[in-house]
Amino acid sequence: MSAEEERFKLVVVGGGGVGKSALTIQFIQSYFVSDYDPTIEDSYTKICTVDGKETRLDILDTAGQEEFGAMREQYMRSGEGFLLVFALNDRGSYHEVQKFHTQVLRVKDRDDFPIVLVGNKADLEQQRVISREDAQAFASDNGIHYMESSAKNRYNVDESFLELVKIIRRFQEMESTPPAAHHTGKQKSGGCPCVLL
Amino acid sequence: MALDAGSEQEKLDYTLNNKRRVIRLVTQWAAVHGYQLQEEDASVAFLQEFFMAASDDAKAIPAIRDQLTELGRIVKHNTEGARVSQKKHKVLLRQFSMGNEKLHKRQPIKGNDEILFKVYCCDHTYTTIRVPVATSVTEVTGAVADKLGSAEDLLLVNLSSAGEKLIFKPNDVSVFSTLSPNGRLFACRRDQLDSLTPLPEQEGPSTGSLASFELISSKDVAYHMTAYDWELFHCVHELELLYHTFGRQNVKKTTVNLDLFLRRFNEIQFWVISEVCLCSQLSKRVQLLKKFIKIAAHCKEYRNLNAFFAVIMGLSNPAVSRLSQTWEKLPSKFKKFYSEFENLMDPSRNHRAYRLTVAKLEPPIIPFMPLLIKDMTFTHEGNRTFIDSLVNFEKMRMIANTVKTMRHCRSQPFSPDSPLASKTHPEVRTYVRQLNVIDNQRTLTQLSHELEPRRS
Repeated sequence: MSAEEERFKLVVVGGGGVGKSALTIQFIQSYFVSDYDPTIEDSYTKICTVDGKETRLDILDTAGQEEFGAMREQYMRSGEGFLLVFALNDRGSYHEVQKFHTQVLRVKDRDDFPIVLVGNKADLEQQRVISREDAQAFASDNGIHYMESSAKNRYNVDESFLELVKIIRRFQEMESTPPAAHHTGKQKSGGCPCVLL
Repeated sequence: MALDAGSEQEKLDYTLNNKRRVIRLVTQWAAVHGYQLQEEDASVAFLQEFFMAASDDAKAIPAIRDQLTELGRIVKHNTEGARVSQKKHKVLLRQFSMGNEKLHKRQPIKGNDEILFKVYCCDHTYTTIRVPVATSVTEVTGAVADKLGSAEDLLLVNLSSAGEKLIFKPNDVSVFSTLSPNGRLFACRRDQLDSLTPLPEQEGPSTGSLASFELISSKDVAYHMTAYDWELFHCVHELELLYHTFGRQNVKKTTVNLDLFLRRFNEIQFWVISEVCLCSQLSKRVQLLKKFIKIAAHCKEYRNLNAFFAVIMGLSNPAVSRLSQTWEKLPSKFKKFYSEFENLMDPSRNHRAYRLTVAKLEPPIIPFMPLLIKDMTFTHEGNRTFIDSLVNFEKMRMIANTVKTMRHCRSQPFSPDSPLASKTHPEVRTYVRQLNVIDNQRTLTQLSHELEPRRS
């Protein structure tokens, strides 16, 4: 393990039943196994290469812990980037994820932070109640990136995580540049105006 | 001839062994399910039929008679239990108290126990309903509509102190135990949803209760917290963990004992945050931090990791951790303890620090429940139950392992030398069982900013 190794802590948040865990598991496991054991040390770790650079991702997914609301703040503190997940067929989860967005910014005490908004369950197109335009508008207004995914069909799963890695890198680079280049959140995320679909 | 006789004997031995194994399996199955068996007529009927069949066999094969006694005892116990529990059930008060806890040891709550519960309307009036704990949402709204003399379709809503609404699905069961600490049940028409507002009592206390536990030693507080946690933990049936993971509405089972135990985690956490945020005097606040760190240390000594985590997570909640003037005044010894404790909580590398620590402990242990629940969730979601229409035994084994972790934790009784040999401190006992908290994060953050305004 080199001292230079890049490591990021990603936090996956979203309401119950939006398919968070499926998204995380799909990403961690490149192929299907019959015995995924979530109690061992590296069951939430993945090493991947983004833009030619290797990075180790430690993913904190709060699935199953939705009822421990106050713990969420604690977990958010450790995150360097967030995937905010809602289900495209569940309006409640969409409203909830907007609250989580506010919560992340409050916990981080910042106006912007590396976040990707993910509309999951894109495979259930007929049951969709949140339009792409609405979600995209919310994302643009808040200077965050929006993607639609399907954990079930393995669509845009890796892409969502890897996009977040790119955003974190850009963000941390901006942070380390002198304050002369001080920007507001909107401008920072202006670097990624298009949706990868 | 001799050869034939031998194989005849072998056949008999083989049959006998198989029969013994089947009886042993049924005996073990009945032991694992315990009182839960009695809630299902089919299980009781099966046991009775099985016992008859085994008794018939015993006439021909006397060697299985020794197992029959035990089996007979189990069958009798469950048959009688089933008959009695139809008639005899407990009636629980709103907070799942039986009203007489000082006299009796806490008993597990069963699905057919009845609960008296207030359901509120938009205008904050309420009706009290009395229904079995395992009642479905449809039945609850039906009971409310009956009482109100209304024929309208009602929704059942969990309204949090922050005004957040969670509408229960009609097939949800036993929702009473899933409310947040200050959450309340409301029933209303769909068009009334927007006009729902929390009750004033949901806000929680406006003054801290430091005076109630300031003079009691941290060890005593930790002891009484742990004793209560053990009562709650003991009442949880292993199967509740499975129902919780696989979805209790799918099995129409209640997980009420587990819910109440899990809810305790939130309660303790909010208690810590509330007390600190309601303490306006800086020096008292420093005392409070010290007190809570000591309480956490004692909980850890009692191997009550659930309460330990709840207290430390309370202290690390942004509303508390941002109070830099208070933390600055904390003696360095306490700061050191706290940062050690915080490291134990570090979720990175799949809670490595915690997992290594807990692996070294001997029971009795109260584990950090949220992680146990998460392990179950991911084992379930990450592995298919069936592969090519065959049961995925790898998955079942992993689920069983987590259940066994819980069994291991409870394999020894909690019986430390009570620190209060001479006095029982009934007031501490009562205090830790009735924590008054603010569970609205926004309110807590606001209070925190009033205590120590943001530095520019």
